[in-house]
Amino acid sequence: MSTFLATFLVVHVISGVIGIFLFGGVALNALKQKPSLKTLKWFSFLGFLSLMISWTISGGYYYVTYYGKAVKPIIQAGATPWIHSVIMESKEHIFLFLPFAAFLAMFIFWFYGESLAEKPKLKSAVAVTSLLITIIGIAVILAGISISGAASIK
Amino acid sequence: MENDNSKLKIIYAAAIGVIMAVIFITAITITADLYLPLKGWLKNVFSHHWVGKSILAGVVFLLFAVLSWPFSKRADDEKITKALILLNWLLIIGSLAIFGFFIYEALLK
Repeated sequence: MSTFLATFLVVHVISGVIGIFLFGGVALNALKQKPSLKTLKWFSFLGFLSLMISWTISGGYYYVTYYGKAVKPIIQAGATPWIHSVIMESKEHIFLFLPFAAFLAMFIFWFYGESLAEKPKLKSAVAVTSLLITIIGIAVILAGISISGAASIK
Repeated sequence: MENDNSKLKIIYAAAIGVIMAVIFITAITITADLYLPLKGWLKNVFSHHWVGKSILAGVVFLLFAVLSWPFSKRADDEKITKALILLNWLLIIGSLAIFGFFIYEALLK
């Protein structure tokens, strides 16, 4: 792997993890009785931005140009081919939900955040959306770890 | 008040767009693996099936958000809350459907 692609892979992992944990912070904050709107706005904005970087510039480029040619054949020929056919296939598609859900959560905090304190049901619903981004995101991180593991086992 | 309703209408339209994008991603993921000409078409048009699914999901989001905006005469907190609850269920169901489908395809078929 070239240094260029290795850098993209590192950026993909780091930006994905940052985005997911920022949404963990959003979920915990939004569940509070009096959440900090400043935290909700900036955590959700940076979380969305991180997920977009992980999706498009870094992860997408690495996946499309390198994974299929160089990593997938190693996993398929190894002892755990299901890591590609089940884990990677699920990961690459389920991940696509996250930037859209993150955008909506961010949009609500920036456009309607001032009113959320008086709308407990709406606040709870968007907190659950943020929590689901975190839970699904952690599953995606674990999937990524198992894919890296399967590719490195000879 | 009118300004508040405009904001709510935009948020509701965005929620509809995201709901439709999640449904689309789930549907095209499963359909393209069951009907391989669709996967081939995505690859031919967008260079990679995953790039095609990503771009089309964005198009579906924009299309439904823009289309639902003028049609939602009034949006309120209750409508947005219901849309978010539906989205939350779809995130769970969509994730389980995709994961379950690939388990079936790879290990049980």
